[in-house]
Amino acid sequence: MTKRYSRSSDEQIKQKLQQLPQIRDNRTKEEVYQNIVKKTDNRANKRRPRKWVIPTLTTAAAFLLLLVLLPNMISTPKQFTADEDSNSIEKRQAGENSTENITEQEEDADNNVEKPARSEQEESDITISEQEEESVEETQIHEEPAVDVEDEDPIYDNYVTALTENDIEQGEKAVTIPLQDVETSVIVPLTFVISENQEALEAFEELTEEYTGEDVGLDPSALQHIDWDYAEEEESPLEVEFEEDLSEASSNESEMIVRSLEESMRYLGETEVILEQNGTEGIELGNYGVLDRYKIDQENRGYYVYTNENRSFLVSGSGANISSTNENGELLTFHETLEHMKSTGENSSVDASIPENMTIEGVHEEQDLARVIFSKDSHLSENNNGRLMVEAVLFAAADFGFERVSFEGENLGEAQGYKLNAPIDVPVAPNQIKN
Amino acid sequence: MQDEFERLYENYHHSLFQYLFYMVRDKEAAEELVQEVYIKVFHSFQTFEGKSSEKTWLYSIARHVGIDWIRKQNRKKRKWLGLIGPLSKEDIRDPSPLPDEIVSTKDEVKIVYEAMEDCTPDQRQVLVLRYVEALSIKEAAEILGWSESKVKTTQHRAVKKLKDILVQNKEVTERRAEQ
Repeated sequence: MTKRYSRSSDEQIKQKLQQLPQIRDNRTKEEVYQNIVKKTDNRANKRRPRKWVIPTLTTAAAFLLLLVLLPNMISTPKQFTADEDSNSIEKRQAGENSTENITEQEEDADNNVEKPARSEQEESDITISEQEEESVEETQIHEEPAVDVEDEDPIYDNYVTALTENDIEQGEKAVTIPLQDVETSVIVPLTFVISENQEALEAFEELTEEYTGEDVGLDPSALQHIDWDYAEEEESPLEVEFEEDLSEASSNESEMIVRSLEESMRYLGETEVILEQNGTEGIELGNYGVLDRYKIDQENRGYYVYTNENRSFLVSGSGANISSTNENGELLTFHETLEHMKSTGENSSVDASIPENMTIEGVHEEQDLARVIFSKDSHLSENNNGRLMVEAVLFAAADFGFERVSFEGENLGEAQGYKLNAPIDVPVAPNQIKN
Repeated sequence: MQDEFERLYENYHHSLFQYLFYMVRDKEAAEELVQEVYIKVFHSFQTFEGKSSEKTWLYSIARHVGIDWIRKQNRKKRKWLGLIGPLSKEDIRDPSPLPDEIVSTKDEVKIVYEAMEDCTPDQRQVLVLRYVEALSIKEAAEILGWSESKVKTTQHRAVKKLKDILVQNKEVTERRAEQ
């Protein structure tokens, strides 16, 4: 009887598939269970992310960041404004966001940012050239309301608080992933508490892929299609494999990826990673060209407040595209960074984390302790703002290598969740998302 | 944890193991990977709450575990081969020894097993879930995170692909026999 393969019907194929043999695991149930227990124990002792320790700044030495970061570092507020405007023009072209902007308008009523008026504009249909003319007028008009509103600091009722050491129980640890707001190009780190037994890098990868950020009003991470791996040798940098072809990535996309990468490294405790694609070192990333390694040598960033419709988060200066150098291109000191945290540019997507009324008289650095001295008339708000400021300062200090900060001032008052009469340990990570 | 393990083992171990085997096509690897599934269930931040069925949830964990492994294997091979010379498609596919169960099966079924190698990973997934694991289209869609129509189209293409391969192979065999 000839087997009629040449005229196999679909049915025959399906039948054959159904005839594929059962493959059994020949081990006993006990064996499998023991293996699981053993593996779990091993993992708990495996290589942990190193604590983020950056040497305190000693000189204004040239930083060893890759060339790719220089465009960001050099960008002046003026340039930033221009980018913002062209972004808003694109938005209007797309015409997608009119509903969102109406809500923004309501939310931003208290904030001294120009968003409310801009969104009014967006409801009308205007051509590009008209828009360009109007954006100039717009900036001029906004100057007036901004002055009035400045009397009151915004109140961050829905501030997503940081994860402190006290919040972590036995058998738990933290993992922080960088999500983003594509519209404003802000990178927002979110922290989750996971089981000690889960491998940190694995958890990082999983969370980045699975957590969309939808319920907190954020966009999924720019690093979703990336594999993170430990190198064969213990002390070698992590290997980061890009699955997608990014040679045609737009400049905004590429930038978001690079900044998200940097943010990730900070929380993974890594200062260098190897970038790979198709198993070989080197990826082509938009107009950055080919990058094979990414290294962060020194990092000083302030922390600012990013607020969307739902919540307020702490974001780093680099996450918010805020420069960490002064006009001479020198890295800011810790004190200077704190001063910068008191205000952001008019067109900035983020707000100051330290209220204007807080005057920092001095900063004393004593090994792992930073003492921040406030003036007599500096007083913390009683709402969430106080906590937000404290946490922002703590994280800024952590990036400078400090482990504790003491907040000193005659009339400081209190901050929710913190006792200010003694040095405070730097928290584990910002913006904790609880399940 | 042991009680929970026992319950999962009794209900799902065999299916998950088999699923992993047909995905990664390596029995030893499947043994390691099925353990990973339990580890993830017990120690992952992900919980079952809110998912449609425990079965499809477990399968989707197994799927992630399997895909991760395949990716890492491919990367290792490409790296290693990168040192030697240009890659060819065959190089990446490293045949591990066929398990006895496959070796002792009918030729025509063995041929289908081998032909599956040439399907895309997505196609293979659908074939295994639908025909080996005998899951419904709805269940397959849940596990894969696809729409039911995507499952149906992929399944259709997968079956066609197999058919084409088998026809090709048959013609080659016949020509050789004639010579």
